[in-house]
This record gives sequence, C-alpha cells and structure tokens, in this order.
Amino acid sequence: MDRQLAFKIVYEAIDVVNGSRAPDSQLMKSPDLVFSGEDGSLDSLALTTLVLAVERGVRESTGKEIDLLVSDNVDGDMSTLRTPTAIVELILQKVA
Amino acid sequence: MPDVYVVSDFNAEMIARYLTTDQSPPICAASCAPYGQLFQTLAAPPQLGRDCYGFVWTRPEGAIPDYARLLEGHRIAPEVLLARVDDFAASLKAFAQPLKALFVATWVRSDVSRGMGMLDWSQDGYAYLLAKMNVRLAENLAGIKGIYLLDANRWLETARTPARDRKYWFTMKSPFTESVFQTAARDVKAAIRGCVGQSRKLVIVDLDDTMWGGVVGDQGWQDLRLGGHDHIGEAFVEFQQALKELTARGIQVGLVSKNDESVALEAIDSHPAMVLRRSDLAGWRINWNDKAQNLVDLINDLNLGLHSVVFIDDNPTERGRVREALPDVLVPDWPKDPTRFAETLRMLDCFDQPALTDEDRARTRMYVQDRERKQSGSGFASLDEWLLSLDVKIEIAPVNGSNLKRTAQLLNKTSQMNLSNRRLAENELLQWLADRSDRKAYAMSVADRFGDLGLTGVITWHCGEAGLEIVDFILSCRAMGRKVEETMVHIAVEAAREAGMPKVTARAMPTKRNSPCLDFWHRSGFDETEPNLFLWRTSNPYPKPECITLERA
Repeated sequence: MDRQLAFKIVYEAIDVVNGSRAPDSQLMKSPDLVFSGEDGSLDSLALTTLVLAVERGVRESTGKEIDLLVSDNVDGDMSTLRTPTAIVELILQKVA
Repeated sequence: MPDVYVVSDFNAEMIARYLTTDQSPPICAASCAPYGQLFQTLAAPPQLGRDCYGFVWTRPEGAIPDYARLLEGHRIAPEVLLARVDDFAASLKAFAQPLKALFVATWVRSDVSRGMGMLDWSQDGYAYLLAKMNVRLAENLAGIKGIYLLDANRWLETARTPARDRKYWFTMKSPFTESVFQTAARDVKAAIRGCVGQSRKLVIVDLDDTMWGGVVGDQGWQDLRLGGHDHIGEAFVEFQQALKELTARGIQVGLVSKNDESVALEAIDSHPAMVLRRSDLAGWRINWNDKAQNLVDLINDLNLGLHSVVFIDDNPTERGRVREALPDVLVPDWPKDPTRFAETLRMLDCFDQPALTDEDRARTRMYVQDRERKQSGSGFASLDEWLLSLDVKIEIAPVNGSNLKRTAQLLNKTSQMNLSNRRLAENELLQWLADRSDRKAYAMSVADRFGDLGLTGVITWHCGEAGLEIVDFILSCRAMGRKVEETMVHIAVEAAREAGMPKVTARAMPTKRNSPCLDFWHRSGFDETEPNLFLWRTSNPYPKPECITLERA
C-alpha cells in the first residue's frame, strides 16, 4: 500500500466521523489534524469509530485485516492515533 | 426544537449524535439514557418535557433475558418468552405516557450467526422464536396511541457498510455499525415529521423518460417503452405501480410535463400497460410553459403548499430549475437507470404518517370529484349560484372514539386554514378536553352532489365569563371556499347564544402558511378588536349560509 492510499482511507474515515458531527464542527482533512490528546478533537467514541472505519477501509482496499487498537499501539497519550499522519504511519507498518 | 430521548440496552450514543446532527427538519436535540440502565429507565424515567419523543431500541437478548438464555443453549418454552414480551410491552406503554410519541425498534439479531442452521426456523429455533416475539410485541402495542414500531431490519438491510461488526461490540458496546445508526436516525426523523404533519402529500412527476420510456410527442404512445417483454418497459410499469401504491396511502400523484396535453392524455388513456390513468391523478399541467410555474399553478389548484410536494424528473436541468425556484419543494436526486426508479421512490422518507384513515384512502377519488366539481362551475353566472347547485351537506358530531384519529390528523397536518396552529396528538386532545368541562370539540364531515369529502373540519372552543373562545378552527384545503368556514362560525355563535355567552372570540396565530385562514377571518364580519383577535357580539345571530344543509349526528 502506498502513502497516498493510506491517507485516502484515513480521510474517508474522517467523513464517517463527520457524519455524526454538526455542520459547524466538521473536521478538516489535514495531515496534522489532532484527533486525540490534550488538543484532540475527538472523544473516545468518535476516535474508536474513526479507527474502526480506517480498519474497514484497509480491509476493503487490500484484503488485509489490521488491528490499530491493540495495546502496543495505544500508549498513554495515544500518540500512534494522534493525527492522520500518525495513523498513516501505523497503517503502512501494519500492512508491510 | 423537539427533544428525543433514546433508551437502549447497548451504547446508543451514536444514534443520539446522528439524531442531533441530521439536518433534515425538524432539527432535534437527542440524549441517551445511561448505558446499562434499560429497565431502570423504563420503570423510572427522568423528567421529560411535553414535546419530548422517546426512542427505545434494544437487542432481544438485552430486553428479554430469557431470550439470552435461549441463545446460551437453554430450552425456553415459547409461552415463557411471550410472557416476558408482554411484560416488556407493558413497561413501554407506561414509559410512553408523558411523551409526545414513542418509537420502538423491532428486534433483530445483534450478531452475525447462522443461529441453529437448518433448525433456526424450527419450533425451538432462534429465528422462529424471535419472529414470534416481534409479532407479540406488535400485537401488544397495536392501537396504543402514540407508540409506533419501526422496522430495524430495514436499517440493517440498507446500511452502506456491513451492518454488524463484532469489533464494534467489544470496543464500543455497539452491536451495529455507524451506517445502521445513521439510517435509523433518518427513520426516526421521518416518523417525527409524520407526527408533526410535515410529511409530503403530493408527488408531481414528469412524463417522458420518467413515467414511461421515450418521447410521446415524437414516437406516439404505441412505441413508448412501457411494459412488454422489455426490462426497461417493465421498470417503468413498476415505477407507476409504486406511485399508485402511494395513492392508497393518501398521497396524491400529479403530472407536470412539457408536451401537447392531448397527445400525453391520449397515451395515458390508451396505452394498454399504463398503470396510472386519469382517475388516479389529482391533477396535471401539460403544456410548454416553465415547469416551476406549472408546479406552482398545479399546487395552488390543489390547495396545497409547496412544502407538501415532491417533484420527480429524469432531467437534471429541470430538477435544478425547480430546486432553485421552489426551495420548499423536495426534489430528490434521481437515478439515470429506470430499473432503479421504483425503489428510489419507495425509499423516500418523506411520506410517513402516524395513521391511515378512510379519508386518506379515498383522497384521490375526492380530487377527481373536485375536478368534476370545478368543471361544473364554469356554467354558472355567480359563485353563490354554483355553491347552491353543489348541494353541500355538513354533518357535525362531537369528537369521540369514532372520529378521533382523523380529527388528530387534521389538527397535525392542516396548515392553511388553521387558526391557532396547535398540534396535538390524540391522547393530548382527549386530555385537553378532559381538563375543563366547558371545552368542546366538534368534527365536520362534508359531502355534496359530486361525492363525500369526508371529515374535513374541526372546531374546538372553551367558555369563560367573557364568552366563548374558539381555540381550533381547522378546515382541510379541499373543502375551503364552499361556505363551510362560515357554517363552522355559525355553529360556534349558536352554541354561545344557547349558553348565554355575550360574545365569541377567535385569536389567530399567524404563521408562514395560514394566510388563507387570516384572510377568512378578516372578511368574516367579526370585529378585529386588536391585531388577529376577532370578536362577534352574540346579540346578533351569525347566519348559516343558504347553500349549506347542516345536520347534527
């Protein structure tokens, strides 16, 4: 999988999350958007929805099952899921 | 803004979010009962406002613990399961009491499973018993005012992504994926629209390449693609059948098309595979004028508002024109492939209504009669002469069990001839009447020599020291302009005179849509003592129009 496809999958997952957000609080698709942590834009329900939508996107695009929520990915500050860029790195690592 | 309170045995936060963010009217504010508190919430709900709707969605194993034991492999007698369903239904009825309405999702399997395989529909099978539980729930809730079962199975079938993903359960305590919740939220919103009278009442359809394949003006009706041994022809027949189904639910079909009228009507009358005939149509505008203007003319002719209308056209340019010119008209995106037409129509969520009355079923016939009635008017020199020829009869009856459903429907759907724009469900109207002994509500059924218009008018009032105050003054658009309005006022004034009341008042609440009502009151003969407050002193009778025969049931 290339980086471009991985970003496309993450951005489509952002569309899924935006579906349950008000028009004036839609997430912008930017590589540095902060999902989690102190300045995070998502609560735990929305973050889990995003991650599961990313996993589904990877499955549909590559046929590979990945798990982004296993404990070694989600450390104390959830840095591996902090931004689209971080999630893309994790996807590329998992599907490699 | 209506509130929606969601109660579930699973994490229903997602559906609350979709309900809150869905931009289709009415905009709602949704909240959830605490997770894991299903039975506690149903037994002791929090204080909810009078305008609050409830939505209960449970897994069968969450609502009926004996079903969970069945899934674990225990043998559970069907009658035990059904008794538990009865208990659950009783708790739903109690929970619904203070609510505007309660929507309850039917039970579906929450996991992906083959169940008992080839025995799943045996007498002990999971699928068989779940179906029985759903039927028992429906039987328990049937006829309970203000409680509606919604089909959860459809939400799973139409989900854009796989409906179930066990990972959602383990990570979020959610048995379904977000697409299911989004669809469910739209269905709940559609039901709320139905309850508040915002459902659409008229579908206006284009002809060429929409109702049939081809251009009738070019190729003649004999060569249209409609029926026959042709999958496209069959698809157009199915689309017409879907339109005709709507008419059986009280939703009208009209035509707006750029064509020669005589050519198009000849096709409708003559083509052997035509499903929709003139007698199925509320009206039409077939000419070469602008479609948006034709829509307005037809809608005015049918005494409906733009917000009541759906416009279907295969041509994106025409759709765009109507969307731009008439933003209140719903113009759905339309597929290019005719084999998708019927299902696209059947999936529109704008036609929900909380009750189906005899008047609904007969509405098309009433519009056809009205067409004949109007055609008959062309030979008369004056309006009064024509009205006299109609032989209008009004039967007035107190609101009671036999007419309550239709009365509530009129209260909630009528916008144009509506004095106060008060929206009340059946139980709320009964409660309003019970609260004071001087409150009265009457239903008016109207008929003339062309046919029965059905129960089309409602008037309510209460009496005080100052006089009789008309609270609701409602008349269906199809009976407007035939002196029924004046007769309703006559009834109220006579009631006041009999009770020794010195005056009758009516306070109008202006809305975007009730200008016909305000116009009537301005020319009613009442004094407007302050803006929108109309007064009649009962020392003078308010005469019944000569053209009306009034009967009391």
